[in-house]
Amino acid sequence: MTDSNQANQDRAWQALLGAAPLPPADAGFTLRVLTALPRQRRRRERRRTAVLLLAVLIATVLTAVTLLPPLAQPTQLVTPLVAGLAMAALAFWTVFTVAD
Amino acid sequence: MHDPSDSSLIAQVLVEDDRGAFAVLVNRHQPAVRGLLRRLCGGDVAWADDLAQETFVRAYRGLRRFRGGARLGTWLHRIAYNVFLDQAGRAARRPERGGEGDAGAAVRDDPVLRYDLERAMTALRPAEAAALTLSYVHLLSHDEIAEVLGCPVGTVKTHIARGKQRLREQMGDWAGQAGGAS
Repeated sequence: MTDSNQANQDRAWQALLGAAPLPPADAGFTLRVLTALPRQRRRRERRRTAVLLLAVLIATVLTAVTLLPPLAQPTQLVTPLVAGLAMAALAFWTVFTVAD
Repeated sequence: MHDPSDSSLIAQVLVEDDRGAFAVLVNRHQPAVRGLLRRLCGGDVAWADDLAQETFVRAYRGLRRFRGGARLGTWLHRIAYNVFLDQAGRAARRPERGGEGDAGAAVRDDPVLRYDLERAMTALRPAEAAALTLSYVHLLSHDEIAEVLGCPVGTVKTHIARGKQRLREQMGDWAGQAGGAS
């Protein structure tokens, strides 16, 4: 078969199969798809929540470890309290900043 | 102002979960996806649009896996074909009739031809219908069709040849005009 015959036949098949044209873009269909998309939370938000929980956990542990011994002796509480809170805040800030 | 490319829209979706960008992608590619599925569904517009919706939802979920090695359109065609195979196999559903199309828009020059064509396409195997449609309507290369169907290029050629043969048998005179010898 010559190239021109092949091209003619290809055109004929295109004409036949193209008898049903492609549907035009339809905003209603697009809206329907958007409505059906999963309502998933953004990945970054999920990670941030997990890191926040981790930071709170670390801060709590640090505070507890620092404060528990002086609690037995209330007169010596002020300095460890400040130190404990500072360490907890630092841990919280570090973990949260690094994760962001 | 030129339209943003597919790749930049994909980046927006992946980085910012920008659904507006995804809407642009849907708007851009829905004619091809819905057209292919209508053909595979034998002109059953409602069923085809259900499958097209599922196609885009799967694409959204799996967009991170799209590497850009293929064109987005080819990738979407592949998902659409797989969605069709999944749903057709699950429901064992066959179209009851040739398609009506959406009012007015689908009927172009010859509604009789269109009806006969849709009906004849239902006699084809899905791979044959997909290969013919992708080749002659969407003008994809054999390599791209092989990627969509997940088969070797030689098999694509076989699907096209057999699809033509079946269409000739189904459509008689119509397909005879399209070159009965090839």
